This record gives sequence, C-alpha cells and structure tokens, in this order.
Amino acid sequence: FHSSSCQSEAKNFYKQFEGDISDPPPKGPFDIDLGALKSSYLRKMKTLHPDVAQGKDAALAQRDSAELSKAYNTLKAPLTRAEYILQLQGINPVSEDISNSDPEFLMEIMDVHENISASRDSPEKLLQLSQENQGRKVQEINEIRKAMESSNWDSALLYVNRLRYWNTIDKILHDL
Amino acid sequence: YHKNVLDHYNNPRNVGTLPKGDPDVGIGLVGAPACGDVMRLAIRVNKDGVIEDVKFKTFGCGSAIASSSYVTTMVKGMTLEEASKIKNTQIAKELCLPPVKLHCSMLAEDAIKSAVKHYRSKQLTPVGTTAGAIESATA
Repeated sequence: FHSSSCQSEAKNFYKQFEGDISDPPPKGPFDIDLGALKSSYLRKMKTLHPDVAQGKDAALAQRDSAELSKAYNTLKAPLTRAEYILQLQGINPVSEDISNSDPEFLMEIMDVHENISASRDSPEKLLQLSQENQGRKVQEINEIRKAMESSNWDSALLYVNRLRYWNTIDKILHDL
Repeated sequence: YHKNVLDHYNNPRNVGTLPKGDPDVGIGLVGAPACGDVMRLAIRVNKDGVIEDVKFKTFGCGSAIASSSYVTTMVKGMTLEEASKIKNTQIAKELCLPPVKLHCSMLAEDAIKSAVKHYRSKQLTPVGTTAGAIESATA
C-alpha cells in the first residue's frame, strides 16, 4: 500500500475509498453504499496498523490513520457528507440566509422544541416526536439528493441548513 | 462556561412569550444554521416608544440561552432606537464568550433587531395582517 502521505493537503475523502464507492454528485449519486464504505475503511485501516505498515514511519501511519477516520466519519453521515460535497464545489456549507428567508420554518422548529419540552414525562409522546423528526430528516435528505444530482447547489445549500436544525432536535431527543 | 453565562443559563430572566396579535408587541424569530439554535424574542412597547416588557425563548447551547437572557435585561426600559443599536460585542463582553461562541451573541443581536423591525412594521399595517407583518418584518 503506497500512500501519498507527503502531500501538504489531505486527500479528497472520496478518493481515499476510490474503487469501492461511487464518485460524489453531480457525476455520481448522493447516496453511498455504506457497507462498501465500511469494508473499505476497515481493510485500509489494517494496512496502517504498526504491525502491518512495515517500514513506514509511525508518525506518518498515525496521520494517515487519522485522515482515513475523518474521511470515513464525514462520508458515512448524510449531513456531514452533504456539507463536504458543498465544500468540494467551493461552497461554504453554512448559510446565514435561513433566518431571514424562512420565518415559517423557524416557527416550525420552535414548535417542535416546545412540544419536546412539554412531553418530557411522556415516553410515548417523545417516541412519536422522534419518529416525526426522522420523517423530516428523510424528506430533507431526499431534497438534498435531488438538488445535488441536478447540480442545483443553491437549493442543496438551503436543504443542508434545514437538515442541521432537525439534526439538532435529534440530539436533544437522544439526550432525554 | 464563564460564571456570567452559567448565571443566565441557570437563572434565565424573562422566559416566555407575548401575544403576537397584540398591536404593541413585536416578535423576532431567528436561527443559527451553523448549530441549529433558534431564538424568539418578544417586546411590548408603550406609547412613548419604550420597551416596557420583554420575553425570550431559546433552544440551543448554554451561550445562546445566556445571550438572549442577558439581552432581555439590557433592552427593558430602552427606547426602540437604543435597542436597535445593541451590538453582539456588548453581549459577548458581558458574558465573556470565547470566539467560538460569538455567533450566539450575534443571534441575540439579530433577535432584538428583528423584534423591533416587526413591531415597527405592525405600526404601519392594520392589525388584521399580523401574519403578513411577520413575513415583511423578517424578510
């Protein structure tokens, strides 16, 4: 296994799994075969283990290992994958526009938060709220997929920012 | 977290809301896409243009909650003009927010400006078009 570890920049995350997963949008699909990604990750990690990476400098192997982990963790989750794809397009994935352009969306977010606060003593209600939130996340991911696969980057950016709010709600529900 | 943040987080001031249909109430609703925080700030303004009551509700990290709590203590008793001039740097300084949390104070600044704007827009349109006023206030 030969690493281009002397590069000053981290390798493109998709290229680290080249041959095992598809290219990013717009050339390839938004979705990634997660099983293939994980298999590729585990196989490549083995080659970076000190016992296996013979002759390779320990510090370099450690850095390559860290970069591979970062690439894997970024690509496996829809939100971080989408943010990364936007960055590949030269787009800052954090947009400040949403609070000005979509007051109804912010009202919806506020309502969901208040429903959660009011339901802390009701596991059944919290489960329902969690399922509803999963549904919203799936919808946003569908919109992200459509936008990215048709090179509609402005739209993709909007839906990525919407997804981030639902992800925040997911974390809150998970922590209750 | 600095003790000032903890104080406002553990003892938030002026939590709640005000009826958005009231002609003397303005409501600012803002979000921070970077972290998914949302903040709503409501002001009641008297005939002299002074903010006589203020309520907030924030869902987010400790610094966002503390920033909005603190801003409510700043603006009560202020004129609309004074409230519109609040800068996030004043909030961040009082709460000793680190650079990574400056966006929380920015959210609080946006919220008070949005509330003032909403209130002023209601003074220019009939009460019956509250929903439209909210749209224009945050547009």
